[in-house]
Amino acid sequence: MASRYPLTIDGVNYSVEIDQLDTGFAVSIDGGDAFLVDVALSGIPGLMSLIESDGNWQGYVVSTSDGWRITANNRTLSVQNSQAARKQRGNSVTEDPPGKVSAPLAGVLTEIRVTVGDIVAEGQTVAVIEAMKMQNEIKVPSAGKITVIHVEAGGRAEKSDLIVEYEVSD
Amino acid sequence: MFKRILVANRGEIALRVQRTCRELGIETVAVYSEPDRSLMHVREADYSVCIGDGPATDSYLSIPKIIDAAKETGADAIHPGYGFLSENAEFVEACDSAGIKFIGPTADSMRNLGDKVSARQIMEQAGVPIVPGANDIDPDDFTSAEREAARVGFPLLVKASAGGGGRGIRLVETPDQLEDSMRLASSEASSSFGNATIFLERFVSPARHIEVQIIADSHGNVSAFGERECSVQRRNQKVLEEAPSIAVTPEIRQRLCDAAISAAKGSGYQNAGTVEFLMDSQGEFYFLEVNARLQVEHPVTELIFGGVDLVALQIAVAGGASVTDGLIDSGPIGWAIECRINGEDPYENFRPSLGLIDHVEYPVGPGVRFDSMLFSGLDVPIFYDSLLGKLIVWAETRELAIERMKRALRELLISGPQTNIPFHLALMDNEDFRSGNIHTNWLEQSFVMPENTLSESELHMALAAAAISSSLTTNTGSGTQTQSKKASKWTSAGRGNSMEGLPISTGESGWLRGTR
Repeated sequence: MASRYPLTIDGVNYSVEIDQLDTGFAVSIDGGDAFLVDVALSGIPGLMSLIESDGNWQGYVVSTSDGWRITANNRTLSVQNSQAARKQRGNSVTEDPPGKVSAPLAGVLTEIRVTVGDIVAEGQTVAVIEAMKMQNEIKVPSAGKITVIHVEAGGRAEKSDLIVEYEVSD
Repeated sequence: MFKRILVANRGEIALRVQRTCRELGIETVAVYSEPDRSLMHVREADYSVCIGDGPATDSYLSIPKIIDAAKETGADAIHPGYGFLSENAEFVEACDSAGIKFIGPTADSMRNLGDKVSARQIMEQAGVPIVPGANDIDPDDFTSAEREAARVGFPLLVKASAGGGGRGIRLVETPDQLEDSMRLASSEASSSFGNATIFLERFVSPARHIEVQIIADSHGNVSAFGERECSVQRRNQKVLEEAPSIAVTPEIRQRLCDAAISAAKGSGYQNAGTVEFLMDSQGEFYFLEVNARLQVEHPVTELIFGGVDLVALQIAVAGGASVTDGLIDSGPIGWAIECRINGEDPYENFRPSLGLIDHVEYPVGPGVRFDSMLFSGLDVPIFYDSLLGKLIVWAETRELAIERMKRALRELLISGPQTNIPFHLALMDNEDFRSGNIHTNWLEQSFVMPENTLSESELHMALAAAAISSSLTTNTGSGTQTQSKKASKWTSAGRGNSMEGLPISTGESGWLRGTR
């Protein structure tokens, strides 16, 4: 089960996909070739060792309000989660059956951007849900035509509540 | 010998002095300000006394509080370390009248050497070369000052007699700037130091900062332990020191040490001190000042003189022991370099960077010494300077010492505040530094800090670490798979911890980390 993490370093966005295998994690950055890393943590929380065929890496990883602070090679680097909820949404979207989009997390729907009958493109935002002062866009995973809208702007949704249904185009 | 020594300092130097005391079988008393309660020097001393609030004026600079702490704990001597009260003649007098031995020079010689004009006069009489200049300039008598300035030659420096640490100094490049500079220097000196006395000194530039370590006993003997090179400076603060100096030949060393010994004898000096000189490109040197205390950079001398313990010598001579008179011949052997590890960001113009030290790993291995106050969980207080530790290496040659320093700098892992380690690494690779082509203005004029760029591999690993950390903290349990049958027991165990979501540190809640 691969998971995708949108991360930002120095204002540059990266999409990092990791897949947990028996032998470690397969890591792919921006759709590039996956490389395998072996991970070890120790009794010191935050201390992380990665072993990869091109070389070893060790660093100290501390969680911050918007991501991670990583100290490696005597430099401190700030890594932000570009969109905190996108990964969870990604999972939810893959779990949604075709033609249905559900809420990736509980929150208030601040915007509904489509009406019944709209033709939507793959990845188009259909609604915005706000949780913990964070705006999260809800997108359709494939192109189609909106058939049902289950929520109203300003309304509240629980995690996995249906948001919209649509007819998937061929 | 003393029974119990109070160390009137904090941080790495307090630990440094305590270590020697312990080896000598002398008990230690620590003093500390409230925010320093958890520091190592407080925990490790035999006795500890809280002397007040965070600001140094309420604690480490309070003479009565420190004297009271010494009386209360029955300390029979006080070691002042460096900074704080170490060169304060009133503190020495307060120790004397309380019947507590001050481990350092007498109040009189401290006063005489602390005043730059009187120090110049003492050195002139002792036959120590001083920078050509003119003493006791009357800031209101511009005509005679102008005549003196012409004799000294331009460019010259107008200096405050009571100045120090680079303050109260003005560079005058042409005669027309003299009058304004004199007025400004004099009023600045009057307001900063309460003493308007100024003098003129020829501007020796480019110059190296070369200093000689001395230990003087109370019987008139003075030992000289060769020189240290401290030309790598920023804003008049040393950032790296080495010993010996690449520019000092055995012949120059002999002359430097002779001059330093004359300086100590001429001023009736006792205990450890450093005689500082400016040295020009021809190897001519001039007396600058005496630092009447143990220096931050004393370990480089210890390492090239067979591991001599300068603190032990300070304690010994304070107790009346004698030292060898003259240049100590057990060194110099090999090369020593010290990097000051400061909490400052070299990519942000060396802005201070302090806070919780999440984790620290000390460098070890052959030829490495790390004198430091750091431990995992230390919250660096904001009240004091940014020196976190001193990384010192010894090797057979300067080239090997530079490579060893690079290795040790890379081994030193500090998570939390940004440190100046990337700066020191860049310095070790700098061509001018490697060839020894440096002077006191070199760092500020010529050194360029390389851009903070990540290699592709560093970037990929950081991204992988962040993504894996996210996965470990959000997918608690449910997504984990069984461990591989192929992986070894140890690999599985190591990865098992990560798979189980061993808590990742969360900054301020540091103390609770890992306790679950």
